Amino acid sequence: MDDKRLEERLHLLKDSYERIPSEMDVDAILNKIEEAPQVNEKKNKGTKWQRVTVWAVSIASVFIIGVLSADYLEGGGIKNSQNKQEELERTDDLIEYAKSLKDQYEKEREKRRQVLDIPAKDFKTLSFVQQADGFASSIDYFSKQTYESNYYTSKDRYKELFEKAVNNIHLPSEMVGDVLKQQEKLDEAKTSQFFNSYYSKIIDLKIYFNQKQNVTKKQVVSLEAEGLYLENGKFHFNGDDNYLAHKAFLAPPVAGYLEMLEQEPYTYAGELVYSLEDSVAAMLMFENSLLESFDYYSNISTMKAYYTEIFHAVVKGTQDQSIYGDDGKVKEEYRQLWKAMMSQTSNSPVNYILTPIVKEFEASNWRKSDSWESLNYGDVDDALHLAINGDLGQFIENPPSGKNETSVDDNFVQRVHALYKLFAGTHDQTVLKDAKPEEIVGLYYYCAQLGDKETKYELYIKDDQYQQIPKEEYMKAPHQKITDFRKEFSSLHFEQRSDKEGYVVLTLHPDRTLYMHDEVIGFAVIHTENGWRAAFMPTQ
Amino acid sequence: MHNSGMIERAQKGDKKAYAELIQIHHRTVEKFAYQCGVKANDLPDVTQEVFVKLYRFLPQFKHERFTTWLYKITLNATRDYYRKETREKAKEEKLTRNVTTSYCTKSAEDRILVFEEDQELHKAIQSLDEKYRHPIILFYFHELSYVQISEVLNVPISTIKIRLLRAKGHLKTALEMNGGTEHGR
Repeated sequence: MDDKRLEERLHLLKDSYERIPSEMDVDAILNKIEEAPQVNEKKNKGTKWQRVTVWAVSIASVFIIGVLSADYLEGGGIKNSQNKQEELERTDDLIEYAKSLKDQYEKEREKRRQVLDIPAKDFKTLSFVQQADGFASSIDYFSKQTYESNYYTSKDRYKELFEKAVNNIHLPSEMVGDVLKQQEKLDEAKTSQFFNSYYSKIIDLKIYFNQKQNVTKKQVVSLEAEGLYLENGKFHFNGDDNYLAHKAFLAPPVAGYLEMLEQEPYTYAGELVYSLEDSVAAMLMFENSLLESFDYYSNISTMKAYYTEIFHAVVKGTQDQSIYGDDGKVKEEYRQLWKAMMSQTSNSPVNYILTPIVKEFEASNWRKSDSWESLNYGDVDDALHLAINGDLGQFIENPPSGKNETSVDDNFVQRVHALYKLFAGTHDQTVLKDAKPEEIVGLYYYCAQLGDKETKYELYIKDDQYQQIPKEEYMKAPHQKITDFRKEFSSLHFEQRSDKEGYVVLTLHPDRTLYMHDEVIGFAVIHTENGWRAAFMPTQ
Repeated sequence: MHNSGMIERAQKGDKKAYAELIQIHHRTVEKFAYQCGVKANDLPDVTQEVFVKLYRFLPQFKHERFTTWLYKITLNATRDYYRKETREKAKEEKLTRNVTTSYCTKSAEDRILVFEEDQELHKAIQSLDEKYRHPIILFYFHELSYVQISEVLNVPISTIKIRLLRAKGHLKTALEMNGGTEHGR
């Protein structure tokens, strides 16, 4: 076992530790603190002279307290007691409010328990229920504290905790229902948030019911509504029509994660569980998800591991399935599969790794390849890592031929995505210094797709010589809505008009939703010390 | 609100601020304690112990990194737990022999590490000597830097680097000896 493999397993184990249950009781801790003797109670009594000083200070304190108390009795204290009365009334009101929320939560919780038909003692052990209970118990805890006017003891805070508790107790089918009801496409951050919660609930229910000896009919029916089907005595996730419908409202990278939830495991003891073709299809889907998404998904390391394992099994073969036939040559099915994989991808680990392998095998009449001999899991991991960071293109042997026209394909989107990752977090203008004008325009539309107005604004020219739009005005203005900019534009190329100015000419896609009356549009760009930037109203 | 503000308020005796601190940091404590060998069913007790101790020593907390301090206290609590656990092991074995394991007791562990590979690696980490186990846990599961690990464990940075290397070597040997599957979950 090499270092990389060990580290990969450590990362996977790290993810599994997320399932550690939490039964933490804040009240019990605080009660224990109240009961426990304080460390500083055990004080050193000090020398004789120190003790005399302490006595002297104590006597002086009695006089000072006396003076202060007199002032309190003369009026200040009355005011304070009035305030206290008001505070007490407000406290009662808050306690009442907290209690009503807690009762409401208990009802919501019980409804879900009954739907799943799980005994109360087991229900509370499910991790999503524990999380929800945690939020609900926080309401209880804060309401028992002495009133002190701040955010932590306000109705808003209680409401927020209540909503978190109820959202956590929602069953997977309800989560899907909520997405469908809103009829609004979730951006990637919200999609991954949705998916992480959805995934953990599905896994929770699957594990719980798969461990049970007897499952009732009622439980089978209610689990079917959650997308879990009983087959050969075990529950499996299987998306139905509802699931397919809600996928349309989520950001595209989620497709790979949902596929994984439904079909895993893909490998078992190094062997492929599915056919070669199905395994490759899943692998390419994972590649899209990994290269197009940000690290928001909680099970990203599992997806990377499957990608590497499938890739390795498909290219190197396995113990049960050798790539070589009886004649000592690579089997026809592998040759065709590898070529099909290469034709479907461009700036990907597939091209990086398979191009030299196929070339060498072809040169030896499909008998030998040194690159194939030396290929290991680490090489696939490295290539995937470079591709995710957008750095793989420079290592690929035969990059796409240098035509002026750039296709708006997965390759281009990956380059733009890599630029977005570099730029969006900091808006550091210098990171875009070497970006091509086509990439800047791609980035502009990619920001529109993500709904990131801030970053899109930062792509405009900031030079006083040119017309600019104030940020506040820009943020308030209506903005173009794009679902997928690959469906808006087919290709683009740059035409330079002078040292400082030029146009990126965009050829529009037949299925576009924007610029309906044109076939091509020009996008004005201006050169700055930090590279090309969008002109004010660039497509006018 | 940032940790520092809450810590200051908690130091002044504000229990609500302390409750917020608990809410923020309890998962770190639970995970770290479990990774150090505390059983899932004992986690609530150990977590409680950590936060009670933490509160008692709160007035002494100055400018140290709060999480470093939290890890130190958790580490001591798990060591106490180990000592107690060893003393009571024989007694517990006698008791559990006659009792059928319930859903809660048996599956609490099984539900955390559902994959055989994870169970195998977790076990291998548990069997490491403490001086190797703790750096591995802090580096890979809590993403602490060498400097932070050296602060938590009170050991020079160079020693931490060597221990991490050796720990990985021990783990690889243990996994290869077990003949566990390397791939697929």
